[in-house]
Amino acid sequence: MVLAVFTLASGCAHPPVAPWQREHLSKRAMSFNDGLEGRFRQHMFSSREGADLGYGTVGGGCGCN
Amino acid sequence: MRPRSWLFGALLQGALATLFVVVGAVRAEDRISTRGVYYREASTRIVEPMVQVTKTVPEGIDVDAHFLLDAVTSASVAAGATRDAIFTEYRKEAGLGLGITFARTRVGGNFRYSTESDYTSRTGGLNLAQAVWHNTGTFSLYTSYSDDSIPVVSDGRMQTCFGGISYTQVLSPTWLVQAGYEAAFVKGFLQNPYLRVPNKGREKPPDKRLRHAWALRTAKYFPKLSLGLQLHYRLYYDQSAFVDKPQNAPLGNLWGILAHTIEGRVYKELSRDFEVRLSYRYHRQGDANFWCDTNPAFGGRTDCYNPFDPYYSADIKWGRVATHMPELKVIWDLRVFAPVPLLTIFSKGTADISYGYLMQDTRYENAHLLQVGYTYPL
Repeated sequence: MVLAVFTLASGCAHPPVAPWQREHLSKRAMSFNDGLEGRFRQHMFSSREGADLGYGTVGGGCGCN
Repeated sequence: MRPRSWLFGALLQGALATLFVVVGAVRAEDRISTRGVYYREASTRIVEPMVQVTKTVPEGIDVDAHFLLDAVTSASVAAGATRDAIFTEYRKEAGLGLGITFARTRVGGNFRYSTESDYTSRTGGLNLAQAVWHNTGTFSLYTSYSDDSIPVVSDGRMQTCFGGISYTQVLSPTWLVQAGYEAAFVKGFLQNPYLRVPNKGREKPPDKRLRHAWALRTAKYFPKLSLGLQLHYRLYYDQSAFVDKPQNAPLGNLWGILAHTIEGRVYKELSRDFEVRLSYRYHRQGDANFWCDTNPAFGGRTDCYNPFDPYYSADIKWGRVATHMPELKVIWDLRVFAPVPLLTIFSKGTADISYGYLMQDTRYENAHLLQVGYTYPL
């Protein structure tokens, strides 16, 4: 259902966003990739919350202290 | 030399080789990032330096390598302490990733190795990304397999099969959305090897777990205000399928944790070189069906498990948990140092510092999180 919504949404994005219109899309505010900062946050939350998933990766140590 | 030491050394050498060998044409994503983290709560302190290198070499091939060291100082019961003993444990992690881009398709693979005195984790993964709709959409598929070993117990092995799918769509020059779904099947030794349940001994949760998470994210930029907003939502739930139910097991879903996480971020460019990010994250989860609180100090009862219960745990992260975390981050492009002797070399990079306060309603209590980072374009 979510994919269907986005497919419809992409169809509504007329005309498509051209390369020269993407200046603002390169801002930090438009990135969902947290890099190293996100790596620590994920490990921290996985050791304190029992519901870690949805961040693109799993695994990487016990976190049992 | 032990095999795991050899493997870790090889990965570390690979990461260093990536750092020193891949010097070529500068790409937008080519960079070296370093970060230091300080985390402190009532009974645990973590200091973690990290370094990551991302480089495209040659055309169409990108390499990513990272290395980190966790120094965890703890006096927690979870770490095995029965008195006020304080000890420090180190975890080392290294990883390598490789991606190849053909036209609008990128295929990648990665491997990660993490080792500490009582836990070793190996993870291998594959990923595929496809640009669609005139490059305004990106469709991603990723999967991985993890094999963890816990040598301090005889049955200490945990395996995780993980997979995810996400779609990111640019809706306008200032607005994009992302939706994703991930699932993981975990089996083996899921418990904490040091936790004990009163009158029962070492905790024993179900040895299989099927996990799901849905995520929605959106980002919007307001050029006239130099302001950006992000909103993230995540729904997590456990499914009981594939989990064998022994006699006397709880009715319904054995795990049954249901969680909601929401996070909002505001980015504001204060000047050409300064930007601040203010964020707030809220997480709330219900407890696993087999879990009960055995800690009287937090309203629990030491006898809440009966002698016939097949599953029992003292791990508070599988109980009801609510956390709040406001955080402030300042990002500084260091070009002001360009004319300053000795500091010129840093002027192409970006520094950041952030402080977050994690409020937890569990006995871990509240925590401080301080991070300092520097990113330099290669």
